Amino acid sequence: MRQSPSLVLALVLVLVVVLGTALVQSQKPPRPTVDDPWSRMPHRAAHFDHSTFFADVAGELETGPDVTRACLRCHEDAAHEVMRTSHWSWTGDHVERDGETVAIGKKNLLNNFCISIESNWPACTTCHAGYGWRDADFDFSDPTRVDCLVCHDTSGQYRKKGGGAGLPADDVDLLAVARSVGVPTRDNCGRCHFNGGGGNAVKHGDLDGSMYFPHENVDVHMGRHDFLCQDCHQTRDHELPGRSMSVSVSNTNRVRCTDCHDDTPHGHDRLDAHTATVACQTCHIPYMAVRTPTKMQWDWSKAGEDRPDADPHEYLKIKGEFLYEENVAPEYAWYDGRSTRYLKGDRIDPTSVTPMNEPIGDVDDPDARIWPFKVHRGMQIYDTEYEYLLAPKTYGEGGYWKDFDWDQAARLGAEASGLDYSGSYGFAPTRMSWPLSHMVAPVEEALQCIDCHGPGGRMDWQALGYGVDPATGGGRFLAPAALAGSRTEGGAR
Amino acid sequence: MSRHVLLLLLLLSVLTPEATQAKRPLHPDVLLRDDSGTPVLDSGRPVSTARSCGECHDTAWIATRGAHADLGLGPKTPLFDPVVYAFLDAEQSRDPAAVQGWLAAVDGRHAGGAFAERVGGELDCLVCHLADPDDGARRRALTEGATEWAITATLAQTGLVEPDGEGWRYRGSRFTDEGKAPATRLGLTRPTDESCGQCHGRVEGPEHRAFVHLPTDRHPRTETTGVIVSPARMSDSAQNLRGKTGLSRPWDVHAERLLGCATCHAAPNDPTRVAVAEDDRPEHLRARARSPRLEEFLRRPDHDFGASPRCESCHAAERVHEWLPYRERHLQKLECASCHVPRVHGAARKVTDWSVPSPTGEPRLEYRGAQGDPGDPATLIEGYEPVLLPRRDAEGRERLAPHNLMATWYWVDDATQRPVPLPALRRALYRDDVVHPVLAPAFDADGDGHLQEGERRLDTPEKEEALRERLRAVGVESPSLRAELRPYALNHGVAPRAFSTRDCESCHGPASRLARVFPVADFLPSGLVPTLVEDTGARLSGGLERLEQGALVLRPTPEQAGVFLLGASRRDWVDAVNRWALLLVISGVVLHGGLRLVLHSARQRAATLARPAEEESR
Repeated sequence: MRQSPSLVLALVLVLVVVLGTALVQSQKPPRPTVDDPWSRMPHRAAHFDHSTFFADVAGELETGPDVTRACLRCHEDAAHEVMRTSHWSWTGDHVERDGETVAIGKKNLLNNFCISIESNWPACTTCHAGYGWRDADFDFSDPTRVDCLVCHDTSGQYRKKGGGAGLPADDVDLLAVARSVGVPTRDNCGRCHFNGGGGNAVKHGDLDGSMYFPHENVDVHMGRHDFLCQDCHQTRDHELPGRSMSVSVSNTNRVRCTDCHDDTPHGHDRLDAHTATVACQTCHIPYMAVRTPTKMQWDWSKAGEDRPDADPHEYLKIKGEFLYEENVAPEYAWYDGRSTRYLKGDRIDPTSVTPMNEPIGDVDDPDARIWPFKVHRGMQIYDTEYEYLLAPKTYGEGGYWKDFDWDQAARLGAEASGLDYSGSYGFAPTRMSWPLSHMVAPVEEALQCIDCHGPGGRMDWQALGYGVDPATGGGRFLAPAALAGSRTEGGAR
Repeated sequence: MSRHVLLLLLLLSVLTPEATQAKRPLHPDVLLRDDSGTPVLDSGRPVSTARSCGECHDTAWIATRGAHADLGLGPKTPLFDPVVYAFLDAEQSRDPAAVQGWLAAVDGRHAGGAFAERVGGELDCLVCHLADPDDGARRRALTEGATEWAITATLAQTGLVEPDGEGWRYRGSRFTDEGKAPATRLGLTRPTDESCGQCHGRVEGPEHRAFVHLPTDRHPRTETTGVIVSPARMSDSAQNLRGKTGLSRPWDVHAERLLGCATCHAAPNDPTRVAVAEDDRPEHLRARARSPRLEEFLRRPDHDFGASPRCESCHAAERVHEWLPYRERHLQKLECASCHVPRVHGAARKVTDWSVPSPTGEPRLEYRGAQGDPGDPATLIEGYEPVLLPRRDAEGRERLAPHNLMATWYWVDDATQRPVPLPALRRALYRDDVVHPVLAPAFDADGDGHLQEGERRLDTPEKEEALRERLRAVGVESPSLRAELRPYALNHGVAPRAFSTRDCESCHGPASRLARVFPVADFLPSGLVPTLVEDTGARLSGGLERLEQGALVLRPTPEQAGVFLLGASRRDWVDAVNRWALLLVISGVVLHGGLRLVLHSARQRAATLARPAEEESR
């Protein structure tokens, strides 16, 4: 078949246009990748209405375990799932101690706030996701003691009895609460996590009551985008990722910014180069305790004095002296996700500050990043003979808060915690570090170059292991040969 | 006893080697000498930097470099600062009284040297290099006639000197045993942004975020451009800015990125910069290893900061504008600041009208960028969009660059070609702060003897003529009103990328920036239209136009700016060609289609006619 010349010409023209377009497209620079965190967001479970449920047991829901039994009729595995989590066991990591592997956690560690739950169980376990942990003999294998309501109540009516070992308050309508259950809200998590240390904003520095309904300047995820806690702590079978350096030492089961965001999300070479050295939190959490003051210092040694006119945020007879601060710039340290931990019985030097936990990492550790920390400084009781920190009994009969007798509190606490007590005590300085990950500020309020670099910047570069400010001296990953060029290339890594 | 122990411990902690090392500046202690070379502790006379600094640095050579001393004053280039009405020409610069008057007019904003030496104003190294210079004390000395003490006064904050009558006394106990000024007190260093800000414009460090800026001629660069240099975010300031919460950008991105004034305006022979410069090196070398020796530089640091630093010296614009269509063309036609200083978030002078100053010698002012009086902190600062004017750079390239325009009216004596001195002008206008009786009928509309702002306007021929007569009466031989338009280039206050112009429509659209009307003045004294001053490198990109209400505006056009702007420019012949081309295409399509239809019909007809014959043949 003979083709007409015009058809051939037309085909050639089309071919030229197609090939030309392809060639032009291939020479165009690649489009920059777009950080699309929304694409990585989980789909929230739809609310399942329980308001007509529990009719058959309506008159029988008199205790927390009654409710749990009712829940377990349908959610058969739920309690056992919860019982595998640290929300239940208050332990998580394991450490080697004298040749033995020891499970550590909130259950048996000391801190420099209320110090220890041992001997103080009924008060501390008010925040346990269970019912009735009032002494060392609590039965961790009983599924009916799992408290479903504390996380799933959406009525806002549920609360636990103060000092009640996790039992519901007497006036709670358990049927109404049970019928309200649903997806956890910020209120469920916040009841305990915003009140760590015995009150709003006391402990964390980046978690407090201002986050129930936060302005975007407090937390951009929750304030601007209406996040719930589990949008980041993406839960599976009741197992929540995330860990607190106060009660763990390893670098597993974390929630990371890069779960949703790209690891180089700035679209700017110099900023993206920072991510190899600086944690996202460092720039994006410029201040902690943004709206509500957090406790920065706690001196137990001053407790017991009668100061009737004292501001309760500065002094309490049962607790001693405090220092609260608001909108505080964090302290910065290298952190590779692991930490040291003071364990019961570890010797201390009472003349120097004992770190309760220290982030691991330094300028030469490629896995370490510069992180922001709340550093809480304490002065707490120790055994002057054995030279270790004590776990005093503060709550309940014989406790310091009742009798103001440190010797008795130390003795009772030592018995409960398995420590020997010499009979002589003193107070020693301690330090506890809390890495910050919440209260992420809007991007418009993130730190700028000048905040860290240059004269008056908030980083102590020499303490961090740099010879000079890396903005001028070069970053830690620059080979010596590259240093000459760093003056023109710049970049702080 | 325990208090003494505590004090001792405190003292020891301060004096530990680490503490002293950290605080000790690199510059050594300095033996301060007077102009005869005698240590000032012995003579009690004013400090001479030529003798003191000159012991190690070549101060005589330094004084000849750059414009900090002579400010560019030449036989044909007089100094005229319309912001403060300060004039000095070469002839006057030889007259100590005229120099003293000029120093007073500029409120002591001069580093000394050159013509100022006629009144004892030696080049003051300390005002730029001290860690904490007392600029106020120095200015007072310069403006109040104690010029020879100006350098000594600069030391006031160091605690080494204290006022003593009209001069200063040295506090010997604060000098070293050798009689030197301790380096720790002087803190001599490379000039900071604050050093430059003393004379040039408003500068705020990161520690002062919540500042308020009110107009003042103490900051002439800010006054004429509205630009404030600070690394802080605008949203953190106490300025009443429009859209403030969204202004999360720094006042100046370079300041925020740790660059100081001296980073760009650096000594040309600074070895740390020369070593990394890529210009002027053989092609086979990656870097130029040779550089001035440090001792050479320290002896003769070149203070010629006059050459305008180029953005391209640091930025590889072509590498980071991949997204920009016609990239080369854009870079060829636009200075970087055109897009990177898209808006000034401050008030800038629009008019400085010296035609009828107030009894205290204040001009009538108009500002742009403020919704009301910018001197009131409650006034909303709207900012303004600079006008893009073609500007020729040192290399002869003409590119569009952002500017503010300030119109100035002032009286000149045509006989001398000098502005009428302000005292003469005030004498002509007022007698004991009350309007002169000769002028009252023309000027004093309400008859209260005082000229209100609205009355201080040359808006009738009678006023102009009456004032001209009065000027002659006070000795001005040939008074005439002059009006000029000064372009002030915007090179500072650079925005970060996210706040720079990226929207094509802002230029390539019907409301193009290059064609947007730019207000020049709301009122023209005597109806006199100002003309652009020469030798600034800039030219107007359009015509000045009087509006019906009497205001004057610049109506720029892309064509007069020397660019054909896609989306905004029109060429009649291009439109005509396009019209004809379209017509021809349509005609061609119609013709082609029509012919095909005709041919198709003809073939159909032929086929119909041929079919019976074929059937018959079968």
